[in-house]
Amino acid sequence: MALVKYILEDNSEVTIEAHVGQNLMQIAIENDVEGIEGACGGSCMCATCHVKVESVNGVELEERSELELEVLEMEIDEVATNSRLGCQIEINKEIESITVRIESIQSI
Amino acid sequence: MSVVIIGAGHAGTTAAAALRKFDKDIKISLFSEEGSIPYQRPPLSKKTIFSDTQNYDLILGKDFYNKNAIQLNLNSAVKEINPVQSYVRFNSKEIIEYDQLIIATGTKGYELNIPGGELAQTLYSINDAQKIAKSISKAKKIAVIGGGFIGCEIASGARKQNKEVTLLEAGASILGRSVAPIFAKSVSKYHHSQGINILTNCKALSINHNGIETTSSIISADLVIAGIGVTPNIKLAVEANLDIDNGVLVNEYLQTSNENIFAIGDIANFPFNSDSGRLRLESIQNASDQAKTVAKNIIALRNNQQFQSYTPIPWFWSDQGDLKLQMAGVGNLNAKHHVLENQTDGTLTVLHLVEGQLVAIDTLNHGLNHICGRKLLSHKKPILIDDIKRFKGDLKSLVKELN
Ligand SMILES: Cc1cc2nc3c(=O)[nH]c(=O)nc-3n(C[C@H](O)[C@H](O)[C@H](O)COP(=O)(O)OP(=O)(O)OC[C@H]3O[C@@H](n4cnc5c(N)ncnc54)[C@H](O)[C@@H]3O)c2cc1C
Ligand code: FES
Repeated sequence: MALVKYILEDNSEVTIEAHVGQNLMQIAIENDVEGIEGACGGSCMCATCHVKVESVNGVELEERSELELEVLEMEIDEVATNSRLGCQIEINKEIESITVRIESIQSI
Repeated sequence: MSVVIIGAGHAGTTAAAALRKFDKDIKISLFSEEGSIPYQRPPLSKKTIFSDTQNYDLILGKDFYNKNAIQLNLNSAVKEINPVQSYVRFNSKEIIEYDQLIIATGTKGYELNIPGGELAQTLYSINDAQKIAKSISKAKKIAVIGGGFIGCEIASGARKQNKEVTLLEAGASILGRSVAPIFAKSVSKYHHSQGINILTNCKALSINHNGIETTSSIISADLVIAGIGVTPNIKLAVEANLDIDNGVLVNEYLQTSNENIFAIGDIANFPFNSDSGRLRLESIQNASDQAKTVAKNIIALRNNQQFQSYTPIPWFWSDQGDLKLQMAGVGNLNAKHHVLENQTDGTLTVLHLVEGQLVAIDTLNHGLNHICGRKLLSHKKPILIDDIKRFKGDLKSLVKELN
């Protein structure tokens, strides 16, 4: 179990208790968190699950993979150092909590 | 202002969300013939039919519609478009007026027109998927008719569950129309190695409770699933006298022959630099990107602003057993195929070339080459095979050089 906090475009916040094994794109869709589309269903092809990681407690996240970075660069105008694909961040036992910012429906 | 959207598949639903993002005040009404909150279709053939849960993946959260004042009308088939008086009729006699209308009615599966054809199950909706899931859990021998993407996904998923699986394909190869022949061959080899019995050049002649009689043999099966392609749901558009040809004809702004009626997703036949000068796609990329373009253009129409053209680099994926197939661009009959050299084991990258120029790329278990391929296809200048050869198959370095 980990606490996932999404900061939405209007700066409101939603916090969800998420299970190990789920990724941040799935958690957002299942819990009605606005602004994550997840068009490719987590196939690492669309970047409509773009989030910016603000903080993580419990463990450091693994670096973005080469593929993830390529997808971000292709689809997002300004890739920040904390830009990630939500579908590539999976909740594991070590993560206690994570806060990410969503930039609403992506690539419009 | 009122926008009415017919069909709450990936296209219609995403268009509603995008319109709401751009304008807080427009009245948005979304009509669905189905009874379920809009859901994603790709997982149906990849996991839903192999699971015993009733869960499925929604496109937007279930409360999104209420929270965003999108009037979602489920179980509400639209029966008529009246383009002269700008209204649609739904259920039997209710009427709703529109300023702009979006047709996103998608496709429906072809029926199998052979004796016993009704015994074959087909997969398009969540209802179909839940029904097939029950049948699969009970079946031992499964025959899948149609070796397209969905047929291959169903066959490989069933095989993973240790079912005895036969895959029938009427053409000379599975995935015949969709990928390079050498690519299809490689996928076919994999399925064969997993124990799927693939029969090509094989047509089903009749179905009964024991199985299928085909042009080559009799196949025993206790469950038959058919995935033989789909046809666009054009009835409403035909009756409204819109221009039709393999779907609803739209211009590069996704406008039909009526300037206040737009069409998007699987139903829309749009201008594209292809053999016929047009293209109709059946993919999530297309549904999602057209939805966003149409939302922009409806707002632009309202504000007298410039329209945006829809000029995609199409992409698609399919999950088959341990294989991830990713396709980008649009191949054609004149294309030559070139297997990219120096690739890691278990992967395959095939380039489609027309007059030496890259037009499409198929990759197997190689997401990075897929993404690099899309970057190359979207490059201002044509990418030539000689450019690619110079980098000895390293697409990423070529992308870097071009930037
Ligand atoms: C099993 C399966 C697996 C797939 N896998 C992939 C994949 O891996 N990758 C990929 O890119 N694509 C995949 N696709 C294709 C993708 O799902 C479609 O391209 C996409 O759903 C098209 O969206 P759409 O909104 O245009 O049409 P649809 O999703 O077909 O939605 C149209 C909706 O309109 C409704 N409708 C029709 N007529 C009316 C009416 N008169 N009134 C009200 N409602 C009406 C229909 O009932 C339907 O709900 C798959 C499709 C299926 C069926
Ligand atoms: S859902 Fe498509 S890249 Fe994450």
